[in-house]
Amino acid sequence: MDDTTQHHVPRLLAIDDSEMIHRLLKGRLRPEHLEIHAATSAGEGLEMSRRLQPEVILLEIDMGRTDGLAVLSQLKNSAETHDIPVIVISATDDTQMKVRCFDLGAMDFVAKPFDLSELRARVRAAVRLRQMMLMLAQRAQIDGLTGLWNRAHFDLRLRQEIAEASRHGSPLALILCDLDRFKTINDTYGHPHGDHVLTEFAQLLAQHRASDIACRYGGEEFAIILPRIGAAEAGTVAQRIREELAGRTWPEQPDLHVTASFGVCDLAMCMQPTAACMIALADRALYDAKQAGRDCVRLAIPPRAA
Amino acid sequence: MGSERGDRDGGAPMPLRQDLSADADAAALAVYFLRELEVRVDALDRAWMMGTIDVVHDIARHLRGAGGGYGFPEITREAAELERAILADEAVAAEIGEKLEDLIDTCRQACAGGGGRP
Repeated sequence: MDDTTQHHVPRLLAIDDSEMIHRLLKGRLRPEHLEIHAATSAGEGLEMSRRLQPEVILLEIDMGRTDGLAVLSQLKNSAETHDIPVIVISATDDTQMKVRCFDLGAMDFVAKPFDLSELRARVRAAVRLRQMMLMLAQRAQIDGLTGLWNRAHFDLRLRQEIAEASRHGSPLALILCDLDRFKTINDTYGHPHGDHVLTEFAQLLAQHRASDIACRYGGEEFAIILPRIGAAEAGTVAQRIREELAGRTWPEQPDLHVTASFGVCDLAMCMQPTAACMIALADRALYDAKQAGRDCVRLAIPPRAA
Repeated sequence: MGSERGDRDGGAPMPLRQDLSADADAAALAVYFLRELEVRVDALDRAWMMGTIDVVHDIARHLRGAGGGYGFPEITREAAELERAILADEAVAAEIGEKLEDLIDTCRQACAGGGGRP
């Protein structure tokens, strides 16, 4: 299963107009094994926050002519950076200022000059919090039965991958697949065995390229987002999965024969590079596969060619 | 480990020893800081002579934030005093000048203690 929260060294972004502070932070936070990034202006800090998605931001409120509170407000009002913990660091030790910072969404406040042990401990706490938030968010996007990404994640990732593919001019394919006559399997062999079939099929889908994103789309419907390949190659992937499933035996139910139908499209086939278009094309191709007798793969027909 | 102040009225400044000099990491950082400090002191002098108070304020703000972290709480203290004088509702040039001299003296003592210019 593709892991969007791949393990990496936690990132810390410090936003402060003082080079001396950045040097001090890099030197004194070294034992924390962080990847430390420095921004010396508000604009640079906001851009780096969005791009790097650090585990924690240290933000100086008093940067001369720059209003640090405005920067904090922008970080907390942007969907891209809202959830990143911000520790305000400031030589200004004013209670009203602290209250404003917390009200704007700061997680913590450390006065300059730092007590470095205290700063380290607060940074560690912020990193732990961020990692826990990411883990919980990830768990909320996983289908409990199959372990694949759930529909919510699929919707998000498809939009992201379309944006990425559009930006780089790279191909992007989508497979929608549906277990054939699944209701009959459930009715004949019982729901526990039906769940076993779903789980086994999910494992087949998750076995291919690490970059592919396999999701449970609905009850017995699944989707695979395949970055950097087109429909023809995705069709080959679908064919391999189809053959593996059709050839599988089920020791607990020797009479059982499970198949699936597959609809495949790619972004280049779409009139508009949107998730709705890709899903509609792949869904139509899946319908064609069902109409053709099931247990087969159909490539979408681009609207222009239809 | 304490620190000592020099005699403002003349002679070489008494060295100001870094509070964290027993910490090897901090000592290494102090080499960098003291080099920067010499630059900042020159810049403070120039800014004051040219009357660019905003530059004086900026440098004081940076030193206030960094001094203690590098093991020189006296620099933080003096820089804070200078900032207060600049930001006072009725800022008085003479008082700003006095606080500026205090800060420069303290910085020079730090540089003397860390191997700065004699």
